[in-house]
Amino acid sequence: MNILVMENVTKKFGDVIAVDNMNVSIAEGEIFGLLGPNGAGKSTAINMIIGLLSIDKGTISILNKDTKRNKTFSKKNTGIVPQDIAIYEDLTALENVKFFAGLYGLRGAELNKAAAEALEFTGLSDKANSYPKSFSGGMKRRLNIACAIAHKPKLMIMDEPTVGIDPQSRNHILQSVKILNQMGCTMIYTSHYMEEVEEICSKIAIMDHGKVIALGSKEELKALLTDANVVWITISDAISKADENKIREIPGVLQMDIEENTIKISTAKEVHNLDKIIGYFTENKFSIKSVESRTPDLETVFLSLTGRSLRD
Amino acid sequence: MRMIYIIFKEFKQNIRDFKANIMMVLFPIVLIVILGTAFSGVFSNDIKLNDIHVLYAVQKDSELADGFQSFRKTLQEQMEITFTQTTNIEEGLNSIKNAQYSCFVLLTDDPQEIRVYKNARFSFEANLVESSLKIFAARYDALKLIAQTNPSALTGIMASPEEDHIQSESLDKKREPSSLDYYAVTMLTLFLLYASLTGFWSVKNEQNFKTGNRILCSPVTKIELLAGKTLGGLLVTLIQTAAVLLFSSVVFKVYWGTNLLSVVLVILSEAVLAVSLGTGIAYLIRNDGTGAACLNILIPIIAFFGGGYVPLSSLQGPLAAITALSPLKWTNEAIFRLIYNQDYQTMLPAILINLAIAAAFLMISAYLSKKEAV
Repeated sequence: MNILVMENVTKKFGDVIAVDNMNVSIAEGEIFGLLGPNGAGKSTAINMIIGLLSIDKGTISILNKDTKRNKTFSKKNTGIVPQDIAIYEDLTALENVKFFAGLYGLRGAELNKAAAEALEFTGLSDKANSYPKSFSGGMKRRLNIACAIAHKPKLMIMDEPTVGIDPQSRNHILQSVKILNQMGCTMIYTSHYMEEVEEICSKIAIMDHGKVIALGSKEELKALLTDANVVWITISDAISKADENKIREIPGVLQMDIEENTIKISTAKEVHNLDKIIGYFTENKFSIKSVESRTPDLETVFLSLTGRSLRD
Repeated sequence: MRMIYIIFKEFKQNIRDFKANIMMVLFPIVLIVILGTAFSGVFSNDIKLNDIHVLYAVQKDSELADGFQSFRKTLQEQMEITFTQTTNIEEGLNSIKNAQYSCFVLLTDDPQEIRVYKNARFSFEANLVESSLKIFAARYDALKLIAQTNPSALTGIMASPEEDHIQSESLDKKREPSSLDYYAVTMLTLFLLYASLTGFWSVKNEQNFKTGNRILCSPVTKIELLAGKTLGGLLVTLIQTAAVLLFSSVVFKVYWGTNLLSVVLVILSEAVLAVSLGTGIAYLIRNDGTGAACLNILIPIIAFFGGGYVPLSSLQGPLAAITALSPLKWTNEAIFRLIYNQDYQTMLPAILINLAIAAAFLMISAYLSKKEAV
């Protein structure tokens, strides 16, 4: 079942098309990464999903219900961890969580329990009655998350939740994302840190100039960039012409370049022949100093598709 | 119900704002003491009768004029009130405008009547003279009627002037505000205007800290948010006002009249005006500093023309005319009339003026908040 479906969604600000004919569907249980350089249209798309911006054209459905006609339903089933920390410094951590959860309709004992669980989940139980002005940046980020999860939304949107925090808090947040997902929460995750997206996202959309220019799993996106895997093998001695020809005969080997003691071998992606290549070197008594298999990472894919680095 | 969460959130935040509470509660109390003590002489209710100076003019000699002259002499001799005659009516009216005399008494020819012109600055002295003249007029009318219907009885009445044949109204001294009483009202209403800053920062903080957008991601509507914030600010303002009112009443023995509920209603309407003004300015002016500065300039002007610093009776000429534009003028006047005259005539206009301005600013806020980009 799809939690979120965006069909032909368009948003204009004057003459500028911020989101252009966006089509995305997110299945239940996915962690969906939304990537794009600044000004790509990510925030506009998110603001339309959460109902902060109106949609000019197209439809957005959450749990099969149109968000325009079912605003309250859509909002109740959605949680947002905004990029900017949006908490009250003059309310305690517990009061913050209870206030935001209360806006989603939680009351009485249910509210108290949900707030306590949210603080427990984010590791802030012992700070429940402290004011956020005494918190570190990481703790504030965690409280920012606690305020979004207390009402147990089906769809959670996390907009750069790890910006400017220490590694310990970042790990805590990434673990929290995974656990929330395992608990049944579908996630939309945006980040400038590509390694985070690679680590946690099961499906990724890359946006640029308001359009989704690539959509798929990590592997599918990487496949867009190349049809071959490349292996660099460094050996102690030089390789003879005869050995070179023998290696070229291994099934799947497309190309071979030799530079001093390093051999660059390109192989067909669908053929798994690394064991045969390594086997040839060991059987013929070559001393292997290193083996490196390089597949394009998301950063390379992103750079290649948008022409810009993610942090631009 | 969602709105109640916002109201209580606002209440908690504002009640914890130490600086704001100091400003809204402690400042007015301190100023009541300082101004009330410093200007106590100006508000003295112990009037010396020989300080009363009355200017009068008689348009034509008549029986009424003769009777008035006789009555005037009695007042002059027995009460030491100073009477000065003039023939120039224009001059007489101007002298009242310029507060040179306590009042100007004009005996007109056609119709024959006694007119009393007063200046609010000498309201007590003028009221005393007016009341005396009312007694004189009532006695004169009665004697005239007796002369027409039963002239023979007139001789007997005139022969025994001490006998009280006329039921006259007593010269009951009306309660007048002391300086503490005056400044308790004006400082309370002045600082109520500063509640506009509560409304202003309530909106601005929500914008600056992005919490407003976060609230709007929940099922809360923009109107619910605006209403919740306004009502929350109002609740805190009313508690602060109650603290000043109670303290002034218990500690300074300030007189708040016999109908406190009516006074509170006027105060409530001003609080609604102040908070709404603040939220309106917050939406109208995007820059925080400019918006706050605008309020900090506007409030003293409204207060000055509303009698917040000096009694309005001391303002003359065009300045006096401008006072009508200050909502505080109507509020203060309504409260003083309620307390000291049990006069309800100005209460409803004052409340309506405050609520009308508040409604205008709330509508502006609602319109601009709907248009506001995230």
